[in-house]
Amino acid sequence: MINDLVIPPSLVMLLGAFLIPFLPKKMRSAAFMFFSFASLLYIWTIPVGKILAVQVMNYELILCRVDALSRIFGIIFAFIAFAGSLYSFHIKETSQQCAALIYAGSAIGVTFAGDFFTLFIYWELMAVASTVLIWARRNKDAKKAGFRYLLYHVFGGGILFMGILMHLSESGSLSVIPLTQGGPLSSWLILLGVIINAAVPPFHTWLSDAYPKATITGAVFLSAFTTKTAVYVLVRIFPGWEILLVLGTVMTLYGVIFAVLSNDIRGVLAYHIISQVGYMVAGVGLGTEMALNGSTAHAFSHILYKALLFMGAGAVLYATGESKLTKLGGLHKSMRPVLILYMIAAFSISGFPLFNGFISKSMVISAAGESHQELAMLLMLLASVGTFLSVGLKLPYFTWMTEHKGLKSKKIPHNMILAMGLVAFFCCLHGVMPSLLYKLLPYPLHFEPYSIPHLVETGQILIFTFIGFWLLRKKLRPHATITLDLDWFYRRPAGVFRKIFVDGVDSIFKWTTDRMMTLVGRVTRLANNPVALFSRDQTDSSYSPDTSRPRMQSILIFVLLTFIVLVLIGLLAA
Amino acid sequence: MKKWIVLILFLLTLLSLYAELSFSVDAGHGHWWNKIPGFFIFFGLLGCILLILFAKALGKYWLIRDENYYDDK
Repeated sequence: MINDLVIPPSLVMLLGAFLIPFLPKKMRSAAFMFFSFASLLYIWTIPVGKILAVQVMNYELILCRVDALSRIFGIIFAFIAFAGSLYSFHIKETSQQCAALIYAGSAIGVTFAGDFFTLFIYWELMAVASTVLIWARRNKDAKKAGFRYLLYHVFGGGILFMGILMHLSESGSLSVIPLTQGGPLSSWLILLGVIINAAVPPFHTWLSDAYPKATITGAVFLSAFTTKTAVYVLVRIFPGWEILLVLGTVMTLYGVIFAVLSNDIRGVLAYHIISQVGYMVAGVGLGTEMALNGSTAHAFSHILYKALLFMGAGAVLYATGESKLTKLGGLHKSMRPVLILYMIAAFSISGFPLFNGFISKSMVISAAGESHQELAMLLMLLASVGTFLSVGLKLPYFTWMTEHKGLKSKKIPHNMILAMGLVAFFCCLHGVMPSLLYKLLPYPLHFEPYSIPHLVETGQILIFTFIGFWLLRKKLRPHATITLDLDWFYRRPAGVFRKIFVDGVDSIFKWTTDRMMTLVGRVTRLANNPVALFSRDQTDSSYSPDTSRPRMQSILIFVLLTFIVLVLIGLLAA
Repeated sequence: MKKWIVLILFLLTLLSLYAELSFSVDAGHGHWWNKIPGFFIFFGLLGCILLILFAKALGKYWLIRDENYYDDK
């Protein structure tokens, strides 16, 4: 049954992923950009209220449902896919192009899905496509991290699907609608499945482990989609679940603390995804219209500046081949445009006035204030101190400033700089003209970010965070180390588990195979020459009447013995 | 730190304090910290220092390992 003729927006990019391998190689990068842009254009023009529902057996699947919430997420997903396709224009790997299109298309699919089944299909497709962007780095670390990433998401997807099936059996409905707080087990399972993708600690390690190991261009896509589709689902289904306020607030600080210790520039950024998503999760936990608007606006801003940060870090990695702070330094002369564009993103994430982080993060913090959640508000402000400290100060200082370590940097393709410029433009645009973003939000909004209290608060925090950094900058000097995180619990015992469940099972199979082969060999030899069994001459030769014929006395003894046995039987029977 | 940066930071701090005191800063929700002038000066500075020291201590005494930690096992 078709209610309305609307093509699901996800299909534009999925069609692109299907067609690109059939196009000439030279056209594929352009086609990658074309399908991303076409998707953006389509989502921008699609009217709110459109629904595409089909009846499959007894279930009504809503393949596409357009409302303000899905539209704003769809717009930013498509935009960042387009910016990412421009950033990776020089990459000629079809597998990466297709994976990125499937990944972005699936994220858009989740956004517009009106039923849990459709949502789940896209959810899993995202997991598989994103793994390809990690494996495409083609080194040992990326391969291992990709497997851990995939397994984690399969685990999370399994929990989500279990929750969906239980929800279906309880309610009889597959519709994606808000679930009542503290509802049945099915709601908690769905929540768990979703917060795994939102990288809520303790389920965050797939992100901090895998994102720094992805390809340069892949990390840009990864930073945008998985966690933000989870945020979208949280806003859609779990508004006002109080546990999310606690989890979100903890997240903001967790990521900040680990980022201080990270030596990898993309590791610092990965931990700051966790921290920033914390604001969005906390906003969902607050559940007011202002807070949900704040979570949505911050997701939008975050996708822009985080992609730009990963683009900047990727440019450094591309130019120098290094991403460790201990090996970087003094690059400001050779990579000035990248530094400037990176700093626009760093100012945005740190919440500087006139940048987009300022106009969105403050919505969530203000919403916490309006709800009289003072502790959460102060902790989130403390996290913003840590954000500026790591992303705005530590990372650029030890990458572009300090002493030059002798690294040579190669020229960065123009398309990478152009893509960074495009994203930076929107980071600034929304900072200067917040109404452009606010008018896309799902609920009516009465919020003035450029109020004097807010400017004073932000100004004082930023100035004195900078002074604190300057005083203790020597303490932040990076070291060639790693920081243990909760992935220790599955990475450390991995060797033991491998020995028991892989090497152990493997050796049992090998032993059994060897024994069986020996047995089969012996039986084969015996079948060739059964007489050898009775012969002292145990050769492998086949039976030959001339050489293997039993001796005369053996036959006579055999006949005699048979005769004696028959006589004995006859006597006993008589 | 260069003198002109120190000067700009000093002037901006003065400006923020002037704005705070002149415009009777109140976010409208009566938070206790709104009654303390320059609260976010201390919040920013102490927050930054405590975050660095806490994270560094956490790393030094518990979480920091050699880069090959997982490869060796």
